[in-house]
Amino acid sequence: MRLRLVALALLVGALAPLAPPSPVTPVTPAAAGRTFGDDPLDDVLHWAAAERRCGLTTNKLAALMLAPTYPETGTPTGQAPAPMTLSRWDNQAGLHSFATVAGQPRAFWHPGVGMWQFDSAGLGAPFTAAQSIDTFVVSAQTAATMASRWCTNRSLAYVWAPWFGCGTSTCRTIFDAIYRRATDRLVGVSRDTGVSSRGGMTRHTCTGLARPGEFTCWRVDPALAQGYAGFTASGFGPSPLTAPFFVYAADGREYRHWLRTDTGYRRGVWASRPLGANARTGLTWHRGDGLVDLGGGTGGGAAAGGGAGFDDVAPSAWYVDALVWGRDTGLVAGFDDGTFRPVAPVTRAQAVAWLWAEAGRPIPSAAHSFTDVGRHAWFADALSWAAGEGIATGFGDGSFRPAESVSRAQLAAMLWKRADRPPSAGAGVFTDVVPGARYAPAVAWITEMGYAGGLPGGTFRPADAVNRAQSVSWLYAARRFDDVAPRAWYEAAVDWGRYRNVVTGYEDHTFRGAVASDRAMTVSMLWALMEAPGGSPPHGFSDVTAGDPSVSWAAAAGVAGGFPGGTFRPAQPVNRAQAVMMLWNVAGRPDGAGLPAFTDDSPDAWYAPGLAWAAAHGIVEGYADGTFRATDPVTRAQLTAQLSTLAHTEAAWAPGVAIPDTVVFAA
Amino acid sequence: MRSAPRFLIAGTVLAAAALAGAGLVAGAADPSPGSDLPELPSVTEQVAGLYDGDGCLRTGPSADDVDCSVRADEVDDALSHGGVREPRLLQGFSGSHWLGQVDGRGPRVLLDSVALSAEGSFTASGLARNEGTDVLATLSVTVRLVDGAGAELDEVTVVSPVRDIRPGEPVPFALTSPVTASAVDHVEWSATGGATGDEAARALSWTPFWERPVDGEPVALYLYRDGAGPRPHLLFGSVAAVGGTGVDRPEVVVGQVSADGRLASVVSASVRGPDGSPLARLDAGATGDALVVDAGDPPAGGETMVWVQGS
Repeated sequence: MRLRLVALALLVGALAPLAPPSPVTPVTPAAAGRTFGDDPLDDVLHWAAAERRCGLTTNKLAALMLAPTYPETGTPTGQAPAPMTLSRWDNQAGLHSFATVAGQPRAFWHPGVGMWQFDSAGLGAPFTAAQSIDTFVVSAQTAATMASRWCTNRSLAYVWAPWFGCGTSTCRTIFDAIYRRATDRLVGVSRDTGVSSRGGMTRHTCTGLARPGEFTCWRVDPALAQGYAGFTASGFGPSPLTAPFFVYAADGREYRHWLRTDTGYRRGVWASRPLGANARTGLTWHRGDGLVDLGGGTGGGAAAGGGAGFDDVAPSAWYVDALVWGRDTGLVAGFDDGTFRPVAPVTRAQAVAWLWAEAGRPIPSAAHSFTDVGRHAWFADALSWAAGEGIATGFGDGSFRPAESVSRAQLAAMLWKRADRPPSAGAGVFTDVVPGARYAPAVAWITEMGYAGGLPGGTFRPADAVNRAQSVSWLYAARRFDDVAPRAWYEAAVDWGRYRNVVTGYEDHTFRGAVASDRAMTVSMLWALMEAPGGSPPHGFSDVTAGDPSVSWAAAAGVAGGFPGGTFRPAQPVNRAQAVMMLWNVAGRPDGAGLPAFTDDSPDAWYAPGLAWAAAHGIVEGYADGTFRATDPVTRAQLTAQLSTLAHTEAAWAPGVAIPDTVVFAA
Repeated sequence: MRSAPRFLIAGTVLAAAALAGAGLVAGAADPSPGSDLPELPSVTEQVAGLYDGDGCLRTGPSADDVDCSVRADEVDDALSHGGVREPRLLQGFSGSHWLGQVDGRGPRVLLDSVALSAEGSFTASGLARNEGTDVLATLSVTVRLVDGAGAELDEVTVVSPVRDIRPGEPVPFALTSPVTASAVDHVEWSATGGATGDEAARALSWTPFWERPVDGEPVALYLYRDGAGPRPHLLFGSVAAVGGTGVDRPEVVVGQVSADGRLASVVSASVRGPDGSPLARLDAGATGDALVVDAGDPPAGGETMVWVQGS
């Protein structure tokens, strides 16, 4: 049931499935059968029983209803259609905020909603998005529509004609696999208990401009979609995917609000349509949040209750900050009963899905080769990515064993591998971690970095299953800086640096890549690169804390000198030429490799040897106009990228220099 | 060289209309008498049990599982009421430009909906509206084409393909003249109504199901299958007889309105039965499907207006 959504069925068939948010209860797909949400199946059966007529049985009408949900949502065998499915085919300007495609793509009004894809111009006309997601509501309309058509003509093709995705045989094939006419039974339909009637949509209490007093509003966060969440993939369709939004109805109109906290935009956005209007041409847009979520106070809020909005989490729980972060970023979701279940174990599948989600759900370069995970598994993309990155490894028999619990050592190893195996001071801290164990470097690193702690008795309990609270806490502690996007040009460099304590952020967990790096900051990073050498004679500068080890080292090693009058000027920005020379000094002043090709430098410049060296090794790059701009301040992002390149370029180091462990030469 | 002929002609029309008193009402002074809206059956009647006795939407099998944020009567009201620029879902109609309160002065051409050809033969398409208080069996639009010397080049009258036009209802028209468009200096519009119509012939509902763009995915529907060559635009939906009696020879008329509000095209399709044949009659409570085929896609950002009618 969709308008202008007709290319989707083929499109999704070519896409690998994507991971839904955890938790997903593992299900065992019935042979040649289908998986469906547990509560949604009850809803279907309820309305099938109520609407059956003209010779239809409850089970037959239910099977008729189930069949279109798979092609309409692109759900493969073994996965349950997501009640929250949002159409991605329509990309008309009118669906974008203020009808401007290039404006705010995360404030996008999806016109087709739900597992039967009710469209605002069709059967979804009288329903809000929240109602079209609710499988109890849409099952009623679907059952009535199908039963009515059956009474007109007892042909399956006629019954399914409103659902374009059914095509000529798609729904018939599914129907035949799940319904036995002779016995009037539904067969081969597995229930996924991780999919509820509202599909991950959460109830909130709101106040707002469009409706007086407090009222119920619903938060629709695609990252929390239960069931097959292929629609959240970046390439699923031509339209953008909306940021989380709140939806409700008032005075005959449907309202959707995108709060600043959800979009990251400077101002909130909200829109409405008269119920019955085609959203493509019937939206009215407003600026501002226009809504207050009383449940959480912001767009990331959850229903009132325990800590982070979960009924079984104390507000003062040690991991509550981590849980709020995990919830707001869509990394973790709770269960339908409002709980988080903090001590429940985490499966290996969930672990790779979480790491993948935190990495921004990158597209894997190649499919994994594990023998026990199909290409349509909900975490297949996550696993392919993790395998490609060397984060996830399997067992000797070629399996991954996705349903097994992750041990504390395994999760530590995954995080360590994600960080490209940084060095650590060594094992031996914990009484139950064997120094030579395969996971020992990971345990040492993750505890030294403060991402995870030990347990009473000086133990780490590496073989214990890591629980949900611990997992979220570890991920939170090791999370990327809040202002470094997953695909920022310097993101990899920052990751390399932060996992090795070469670069640090600010107290608010930002990196501030655009900030100019001052002299104190710069020598501190260089000092950290060289593994914080001690034993340097005191620097003697009058404007730096006595005994500052980084400045003392820089002065003693000839990396950075002082100014007349005995000052170091720690707050003075470092320009690009000065930064190059400091790096060159750290690398042992290797010989250059000819003159660089920048149009604004000179072979006679004081920094020429360093620039020649840096340019030859790709440590510095110029601007698009061919200039180097020596006197421009070097930003923290630029400096970090330069450090990372140096750390990954063996040839850039002078012979005889003691190369520190923070340096990782590319294999 | 003439520039922006559409704008020039429209401006001329306004002036000419004011002089000629051709029924081009620019605004209604007194909204009374009102028109009774031909509302569709309540949403509570569409699915038994989906709304409870208070008109709240049921969201679960328990009596406590209800959503009272919008009650059924509010939904009904929202579907059928709205501003003149907002869409309404009414019996036999889906779209905007319905005037809830008519002034009783009869039909008029909605000039801002008219699209004119700039080259070749003169063509025009647009909307006219019944702003009288009676149901009109037909609505005719007449255009008089005048050259720069004031001489009449042609006068063309067309009847809207939509019949039995209720008070406040807009209807499409499209006309052509052999006169070369560039020879026309200005045009004069008028609209007239026919005899009293039969509102019962419009007691139909329209529910669109899907739309297939030009050259989109091939379709093999029980009443249509793409052949070789270009694949046209398709709009598939269902028509139900919602009145107390049946409707003869039901059909769907679709008008595509561009983003700037001008009628770009009008096509029609029969309502068909399960065997794919046009229905001679749609009995009360019965449904049929319609597949509207158009060679071109609708204008981007525009509106699809739909009329459903019998004879």
